[in-house]
Amino acid sequence: MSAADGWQRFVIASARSEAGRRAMFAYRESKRIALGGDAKMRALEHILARHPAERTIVFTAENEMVYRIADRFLVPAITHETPVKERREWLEHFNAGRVLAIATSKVLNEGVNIPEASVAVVLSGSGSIREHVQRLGRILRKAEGKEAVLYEVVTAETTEEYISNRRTNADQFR
Amino acid sequence: MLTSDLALTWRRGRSIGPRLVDTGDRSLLAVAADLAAIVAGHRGRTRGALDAALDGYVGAGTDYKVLRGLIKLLDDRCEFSVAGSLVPTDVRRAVFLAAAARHPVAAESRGGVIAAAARGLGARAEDVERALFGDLAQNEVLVEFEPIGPAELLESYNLAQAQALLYRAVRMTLSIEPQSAEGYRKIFGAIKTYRLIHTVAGSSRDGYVVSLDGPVSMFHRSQKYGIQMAVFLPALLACDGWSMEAEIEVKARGPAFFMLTSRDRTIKSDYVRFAADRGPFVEKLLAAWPQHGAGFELAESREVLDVGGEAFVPDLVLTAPDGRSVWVELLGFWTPKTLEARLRALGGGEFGAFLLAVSEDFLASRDRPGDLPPNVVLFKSSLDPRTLRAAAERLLA
Repeated sequence: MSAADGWQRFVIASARSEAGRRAMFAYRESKRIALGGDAKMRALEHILARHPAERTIVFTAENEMVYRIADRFLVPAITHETPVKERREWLEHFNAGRVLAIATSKVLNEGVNIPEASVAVVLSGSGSIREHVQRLGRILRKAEGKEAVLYEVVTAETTEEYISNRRTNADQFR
Repeated sequence: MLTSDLALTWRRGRSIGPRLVDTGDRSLLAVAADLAAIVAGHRGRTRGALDAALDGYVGAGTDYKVLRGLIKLLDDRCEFSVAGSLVPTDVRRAVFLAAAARHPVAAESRGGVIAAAARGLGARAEDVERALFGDLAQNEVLVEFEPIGPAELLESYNLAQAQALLYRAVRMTLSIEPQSAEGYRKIFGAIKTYRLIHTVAGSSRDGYVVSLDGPVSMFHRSQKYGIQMAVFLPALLACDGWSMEAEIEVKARGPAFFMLTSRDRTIKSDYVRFAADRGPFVEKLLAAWPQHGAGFELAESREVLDVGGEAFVPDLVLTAPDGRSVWVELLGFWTPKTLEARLRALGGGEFGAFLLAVSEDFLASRDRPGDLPPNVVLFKSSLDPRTLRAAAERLLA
C-alpha cells in the first residue's frame, strides 16, 4: 500500500467516523473564528486611522492574531516568541515615537513602562482577558493629566459580547 | 524521546510498566507509514503546514496519545531552519521603522512599504515578506528528515515508552550475572557513558549488584540526569546477563516497580554504536594526551578491579616514566556525598594509586564539596591533560 493511498483512505474513513465528524466540526468552528478575525481587522483599521499620531497598544490573547496584525499594518509584535533584546528595543522605539503602534499578546506587566501610550485596543478572543483589560487600563492612567482611550472590539452575537458586557459593568470601569 | 505527558503506563499491584503497542498490528503499521509519509512529504515546507497536516490526520480519535507519541518520535528526526539568507530581526527593524512614517499603513500602501524596505536591504520584496516572521517556529522550514520504516517506528515507540517511565525513577537496582570480563566491561561502560551515579557490590566470580540513583532522587539537574538515565536504557538492552528493577514514583498510589531483564524481547534496543563508545571526556583526553603527557603514558583501562566487596572500574590508566601506574576514574554525575562514599570504598583497596576526576558541570547538588584530598581532580567542563598529569605527579611524589 502506498502512503498516498493510506492518506486517501483515511479521508474517506474519517468522513464516516465520529472522530471525522468532530474534526470537521472543529474545522468549521475555526473558520467562523477566522471570519470574526477579519471583522476585527477592519475595526482595528478604523481605530488606527482615527488616531494616526497617537501611540497605540493593540492587545489580543491569540498569538496568531498578533502576527496577523503585525503583518498587515507592519507594526512590531511582542509575544512569548519575541527575543528579550528585540522586545526591549521595540519598547524603546515606541516610547521615543519611532514606531506608533505595537501588537502584543503578552501581559505587559514585567516592569514594562509605556507612558507614551494613549490608545489601547483590546481585540477580545477566546479565553479570559479580563485581567489584561484591567492592566491596560492601569497603564493608560499612569501619566497625570493624560487623556487616554481604551477600545474593546467584540464580535456581535457571540459569547464575547456577553463577557464584555459583564466586564464593562464591573467595578473597575465605573 | 517522548515528553512525559505522552507516557502511558499500566499498573498491577506493585508492578508498573510501559503500555506498549503491538508491533505486528497491521492497522497501526499503516498509521505509522502514513505519519512518516506526511512528514516526508513536507520537506521544504513550514512547520505550520506540517503541524496542520498532522493535526488533520490525528483528528479526535481515541488513540490520540499513541499517535502524538509517534509524531513526537518523527519530529525528533526532523530538522527545521529559517528559510532564506535574510536575518528576520534585521528585516523587521528595517520594515517597521520605515512603516512608521506611513502609520497606519493602508492595505494599498503595504506593498510599497515592503518594496522600499527591500531596496534598502538590497533584497527582493518576496524574500523580505518571507523573512519578516521567518524565525517563528511555525514558519521555519523542514530541511532534513531522517526516514524510518513503520515497523521500526513502532519499535522505537515502545522503547521510548520504557524510557519515559525511567524519568520518574527513584532508583534502579541492576543485578549482573557472572559473566566474562568483556561482558562486565560492556555494562559498566554503559553506566559510565551516561554518567549515572552508582555504587557497585559483589565480585567478578559471583556477579555484581549495581545501585543507580534515579532522577527523582536528585535535587539539582534532575531533568538532565533523567535524560541520561533514559538514554542509558538502550545501551543496557544491548548487553547480556542482567535484570533490573526500577522504583518508579507514582504520586497517587505509592511507589511501584518496573522490572526488565536481558531476556525480555518486547523492548528492542536501537543501540548500535556500542563497541566504539567512550565517554566524551575520555575521547578528548586521549586525543590531547600526546602533546602534554611529558613522559606519562595514558591508556584506556579494560579492568574491573575487586575492592573488598565493591568493584572499581577505572576508565584510564596512567603510567609514569618509572613504570608505576595510577588508575583514573572519571565520575559522571556526583555529589559531595557520593564522592566521599567512593573515596571511602576505594581507600581500602590494594590496587595502588588512583585518581577520581569530577566535573563541576555534573555536580548534582547545590552543596559544594569541602576540602578535597589529593586524589580528586575537580575540573570545569573539560579536563586539561596537564592538570591530570600534575595530580598524578603529586600522588607519586
